Amino acid sequence: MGKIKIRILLIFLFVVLVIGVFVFLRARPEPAPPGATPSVGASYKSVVPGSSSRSDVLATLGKSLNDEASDLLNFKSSNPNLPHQVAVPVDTVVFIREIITAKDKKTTEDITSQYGNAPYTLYGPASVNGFNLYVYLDKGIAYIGHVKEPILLEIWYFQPTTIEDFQVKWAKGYSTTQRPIQ
Amino acid sequence: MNSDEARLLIEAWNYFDSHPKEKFWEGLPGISRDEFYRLMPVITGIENLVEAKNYLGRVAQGRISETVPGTIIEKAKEGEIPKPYLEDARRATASVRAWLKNIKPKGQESLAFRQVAAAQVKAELARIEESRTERPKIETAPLKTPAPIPETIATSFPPEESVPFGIKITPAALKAFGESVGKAGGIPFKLVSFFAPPKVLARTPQATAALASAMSLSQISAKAQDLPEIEKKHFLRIVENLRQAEFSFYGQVRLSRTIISVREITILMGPEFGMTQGEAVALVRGGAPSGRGPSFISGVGRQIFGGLAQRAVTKAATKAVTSALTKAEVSITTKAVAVAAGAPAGPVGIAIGLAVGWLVDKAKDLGSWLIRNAPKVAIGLGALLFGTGFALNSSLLMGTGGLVGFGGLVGQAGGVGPALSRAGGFASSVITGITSLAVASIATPLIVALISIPVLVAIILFIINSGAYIVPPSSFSVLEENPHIGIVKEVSPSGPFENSNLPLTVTYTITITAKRGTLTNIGFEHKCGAIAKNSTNSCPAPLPQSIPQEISPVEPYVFTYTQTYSGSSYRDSLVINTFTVTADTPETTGASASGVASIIIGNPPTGCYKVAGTWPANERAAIMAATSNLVGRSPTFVARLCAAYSQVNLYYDPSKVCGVWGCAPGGNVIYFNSAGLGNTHNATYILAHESGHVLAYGSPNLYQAYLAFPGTLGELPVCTYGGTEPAEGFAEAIARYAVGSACLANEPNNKSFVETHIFR
Repeated sequence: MGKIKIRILLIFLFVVLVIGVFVFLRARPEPAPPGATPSVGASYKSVVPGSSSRSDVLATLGKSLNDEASDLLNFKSSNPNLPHQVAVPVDTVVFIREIITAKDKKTTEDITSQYGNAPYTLYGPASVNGFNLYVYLDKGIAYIGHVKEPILLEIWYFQPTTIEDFQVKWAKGYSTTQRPIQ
Repeated sequence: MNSDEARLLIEAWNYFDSHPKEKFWEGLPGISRDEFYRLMPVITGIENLVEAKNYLGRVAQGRISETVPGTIIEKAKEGEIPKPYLEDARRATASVRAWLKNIKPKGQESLAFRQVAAAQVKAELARIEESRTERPKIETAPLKTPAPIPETIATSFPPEESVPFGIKITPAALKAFGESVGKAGGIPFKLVSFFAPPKVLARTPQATAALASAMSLSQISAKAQDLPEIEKKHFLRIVENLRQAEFSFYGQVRLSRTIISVREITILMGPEFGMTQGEAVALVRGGAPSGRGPSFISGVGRQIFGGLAQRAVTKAATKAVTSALTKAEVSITTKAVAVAAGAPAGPVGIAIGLAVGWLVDKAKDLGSWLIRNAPKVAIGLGALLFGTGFALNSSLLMGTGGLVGFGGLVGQAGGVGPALSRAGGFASSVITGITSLAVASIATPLIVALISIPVLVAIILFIINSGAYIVPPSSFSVLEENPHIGIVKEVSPSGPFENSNLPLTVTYTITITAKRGTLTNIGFEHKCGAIAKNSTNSCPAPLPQSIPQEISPVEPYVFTYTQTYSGSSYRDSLVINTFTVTADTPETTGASASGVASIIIGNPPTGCYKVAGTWPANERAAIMAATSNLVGRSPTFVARLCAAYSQVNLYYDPSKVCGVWGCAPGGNVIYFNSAGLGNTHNATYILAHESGHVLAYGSPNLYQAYLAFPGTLGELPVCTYGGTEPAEGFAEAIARYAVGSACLANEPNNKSFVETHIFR
């Protein structure tokens, strides 16, 4: 085999190699983008943000305190000052705010025992009294609870999301750093 | 308006409320503080800013989900407001929503869109405001008009009698004033520009708040209906700003409401309000002591020198420009003053604000006249500026006056050109050019100076003629200031004392002042308690041998007595004396005010409070008195606190104060600055407020109970403090209860909660 043929063979092999690598890379499944989250998360009385509909909510939680066609449905809670709230901007539930009082016998331990310690802590207006917002982004649940005692004020349910999106959508008055203003 | 949008607006609102000096908030770029406060009533359809904020808060909390507030729809249906207001709200809300959607731009395009949207919001606001000043002419639906002013008010408070001036300023205050004047080359110019409504009112809401000091806004509104269109527009705009400022600067407004007669300037400058001298100066400046805010003089002029302003405007300022004004114009000025004088508390700064502001408008017309007569005017102005500069020791003014006078002399010498041609063609052309340029370029500031300097000089002369002293800091307090009765109780020496000083003799002086008219049907009550470790014992509290039949505004009633404390019951105690006066005034019956003085002997009980770190002596004494006061008067509250934390550390560290007077950043630590420690009462209040936060932190079940106590959240803010934040409401309700604030009666659910859950 002459030198020319060897060179042609080497070029051919090189081209095959390049094509092979190209095909291999294209055929590989794309890795999931970092931070991707499941589409649904925790639920409140089987109402799941991201999947439950308005009719599901009304069927499960009963008659709302306000207009049933409202974007934000209010339901009676054990707190006479604050109702439970379910945000249904179109026909799908996107956010639930459950109000907790001492009568409900719920504590932060009910959440931490199930989901572990919250990966994110946000500081809001009640932080001066020791109540922060603890967020599980990938689980679609957050709670306002005390920094030391297991006292729970609210539980939030939402579609799993990123911290930026969560802050923009649901926690505008909260910050990742504590800046008390009194 | 959805809850997210409302939440952002509430966030902005809270920011503006808590940062009165900030004109913008980075979270809401493109709209200034003033525009924000003007916009909110439009989009909510609720003029009262407190109610508007509450409404928006309910939207933010998701308790209401309406694009346009139901209240405005109902009002429009019932004809209570013109129907176009409803359309205004819709359009403004749509503009605001478009703007908020791009409030965090992701690229240049959306940034540009946001800027356009912000501009649209501003344009919409301007359109609405403009149309509302015109609308009453064409509307069929009647505007709700305030109740007419009783005729008796005007006669009860004739301008000459209603403002019994008698300024009392200490040498220190006079020095501060002098320093301000010394730097005052530009003050005359600032003076007028800052006075000019409505721009000034929009720009400096603190000043606006101060202007609100003595006026009934509804009365001003009603009076405005009778004025010509231009003046009415001014008035209504001012009233609108005043309402906003009254809401945003509640404290200043309250403060100003107590300084209606100049006699009470001593209170402004004194420590009754828990203010240091520097802070008082800062307040009247409307900015930081060393800041670039409105000048001391302009602030003082607006806030305090109401009657003087009237006098200055009608006699000095008007006289200064009288040759350029028609009689009709002068009468309008007088009318503006008269309207302000019709307010029940007398003509305060609004008079000068309106009149000088109006004069500034007229100054534009004067411009052409002045330029036509430039040489003559320049001579006069030069002399005036030079003389004023000499009087004020201001080289800048003197120099300016010399320059202007020289230019005038040159011009007067048979005309600039001919005069100078004799001096040589080259020099003539050069100096002619300079003079012409000077006259043209400085015409506006000269006009401003022409108007403002007489006012300034009048103010200075008035102060000098009035004499001056200041009330030294002492241990009296007025967190809850009575608008009719002033009472000050002082003790000398003020201590603190050692146990070894017993038996101890001190002298108490109680001064009672009638603020708005003669006090009659007077009654006195005097209490004394010595709070020791395990007991609170009563102590002697003598009353005057005879009670006066009346107390005149021009002659305070003074009661002095000497008391000796001896015996073991005074060891390690806080002795608190409270003198209460009840009286009828021309405006009300049964008005009541108290003055408190306290002394510390030894180491009175401080519960679990520990005064830690380094403290200035006066502040240390105040916080010790406050702890003993709280321990003695609110033992259950302190016991709850001490159950949560065995020790609560109190530090003096202004750099860590996150509120106005204090900060409880979490746990068992509280930081203070001097502002709230001017007297025992204020110190007790701020200690109780911050302790409320500490208690919530340490006993979170109490805070949880507060949130669920019926009606508490609906009453927020408690006594106007803390906005709609429950965390602040909790602490404020505790503090107000601890110091016995009357305003808590307006928040019955909050009062009931703290009464049953905190103090029992």
